[in-house]
Amino acid sequence: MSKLTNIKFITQEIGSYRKPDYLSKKFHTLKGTPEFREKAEKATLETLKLFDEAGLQNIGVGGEMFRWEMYEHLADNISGIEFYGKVRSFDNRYYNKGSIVKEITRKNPVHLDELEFVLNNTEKAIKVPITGPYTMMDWSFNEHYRDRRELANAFADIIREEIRDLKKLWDTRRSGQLLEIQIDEPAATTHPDEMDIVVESVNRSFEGITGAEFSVHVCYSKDYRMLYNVMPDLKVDGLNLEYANRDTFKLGVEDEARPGYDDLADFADINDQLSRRKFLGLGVTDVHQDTIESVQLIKDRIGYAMAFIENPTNIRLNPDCGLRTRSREVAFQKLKNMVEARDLVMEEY
Amino acid sequence: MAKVETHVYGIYPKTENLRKNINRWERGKIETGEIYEALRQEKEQYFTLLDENKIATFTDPLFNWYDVLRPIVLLSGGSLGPLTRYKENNTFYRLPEFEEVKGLTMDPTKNAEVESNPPFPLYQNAGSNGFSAFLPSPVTIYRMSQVSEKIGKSDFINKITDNYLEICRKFGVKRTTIFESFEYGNEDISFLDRLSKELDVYLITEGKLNEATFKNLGEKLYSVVVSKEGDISLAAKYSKVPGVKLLDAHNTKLERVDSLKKKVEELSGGINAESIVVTNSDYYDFLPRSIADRKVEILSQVGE
Repeated sequence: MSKLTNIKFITQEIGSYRKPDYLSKKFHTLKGTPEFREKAEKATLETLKLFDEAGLQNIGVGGEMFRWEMYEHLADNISGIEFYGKVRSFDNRYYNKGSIVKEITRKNPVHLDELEFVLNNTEKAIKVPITGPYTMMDWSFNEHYRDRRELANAFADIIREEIRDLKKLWDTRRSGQLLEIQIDEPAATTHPDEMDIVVESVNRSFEGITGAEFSVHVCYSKDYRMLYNVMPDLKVDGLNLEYANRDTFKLGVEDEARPGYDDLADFADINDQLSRRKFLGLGVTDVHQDTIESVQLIKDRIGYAMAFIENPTNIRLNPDCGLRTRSREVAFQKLKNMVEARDLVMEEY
Repeated sequence: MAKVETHVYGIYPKTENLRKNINRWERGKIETGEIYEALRQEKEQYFTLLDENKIATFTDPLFNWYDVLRPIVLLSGGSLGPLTRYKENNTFYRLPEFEEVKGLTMDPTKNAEVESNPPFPLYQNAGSNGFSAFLPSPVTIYRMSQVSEKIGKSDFINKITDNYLEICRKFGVKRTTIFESFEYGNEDISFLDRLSKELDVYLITEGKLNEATFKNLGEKLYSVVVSKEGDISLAAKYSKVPGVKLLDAHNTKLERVDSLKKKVEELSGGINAESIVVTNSDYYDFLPRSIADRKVEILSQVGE
């Protein structure tokens, strides 16, 4: 096979990583205190070290040690949201779902401290995940806004304000480099008739901000084609998606072995028509299973995807979703195997 | 104004105390005997809440059901597949997988540990006045499950219905609340005849109804509860006491009692109903506990 140039296959984290016990057990009681900050910083440093050892190229924000949960982290810093108690996600797992009781406004910057700390402690590529406007809307009770579109756009305005602050900080530290922002939208395809609201609110959340690269992360969608279909209108540079969860553990690059990636042809069909193609962050390791995918299996997943994506420079590699669902040890091995698989692919191509 | 029969059904949100206890039990920090007792006590408190609010008919709060299908799936020989999004919500259930539908695999009235779910019994206080056995419609289970091609749809529905009859007989209940999670389309719901011969059936429907759905029903059900107010005349035609969902289980905004009373008056007046069932739009587990409790109080005031 001929050697290809310019292939990077950037390996990246999606966002969260399991917190060490010393942080997770005291997270809520210490939040807002100097001790919390000290523990969150310690955990971030330890996680950055793990990411380094795994060979990860883009280290995100060091596993989101400053954050508890993606909805609550942003919602806690917005006025106009009341919390009346937890609601069930599944089994005996619950989350705080806020009620929008009046116009929402940002109380204070949400991710600035975290980014500043990471910038102080690494020179590697950074990607800041921010929960997206559509998901924030969908996961809230709306008691105030006229409709779901209006609420999603109100969240978009808050997120834009947040990104502007991050960009200001970024420019003082890494001027000339693109700030990478990942808009997390797990709810994006849950209401098929609202894809126009997804597009409108995501675009609005970074409207007018230049010098940054924007991606959107979606996971556990029933059908990614809904997302692919709106790619021409979605002004992001790339999609970071989950695929491994729907795949098999069989080795090989045949269709039968790789059902998790069977819609990549649809992605490619649409992407190839765009004047500016989007990159695809390919989920190659499942965050909902302790089984550690072998290097060969991950390599086969990458190899299968490359058959569809004409320009492999458009592929990045990541776990399906945040790895907080797994122990730090299992998560580390998954990342390490991902990096090793990437290196093997690079050697071959 | 028509007489209002207040009805509360489905999984009710747990208290923080019970959530924590279940969490401890899951991690092996407390014995199964302790979780039986915690569940029993919390259910008693729930029944007291309903009693204080004079709720006419109600189901078990199902604090020990991890989702609306799981206990029935386990009782009917199904297995639990991957986490799957429930409709368009940010909530998930384990996808039921059926290679066959068995008769009841265990006695649902007894204390017993079950797979990946807090322990049984299925219901508590089943003998009390106003108690109704909550059961997900076999149509809903079929639609939300992965069912082997070897099992025909009507066979599946009939076997689940057999199990439902058995469950209701074992508990000695007089009524059942059949929960439908999806719009019917062209479904045939004549399987309900077998239940309504023995029980008062409260059919909680979802979405727009059409007359064809009911054409094969032999007799009127006790109550057809509609989600679209425009369907109330269909509910009146096919049930003894038409019903309507008026309390929103997907929004924390509290309904105004006077508005609800006005709505009940309009709806019952339009069909000359003497009685009308008023209930929640979905099970309350989508709301924080404090809000669900307030909605029960509001429902109670509508019934006064």
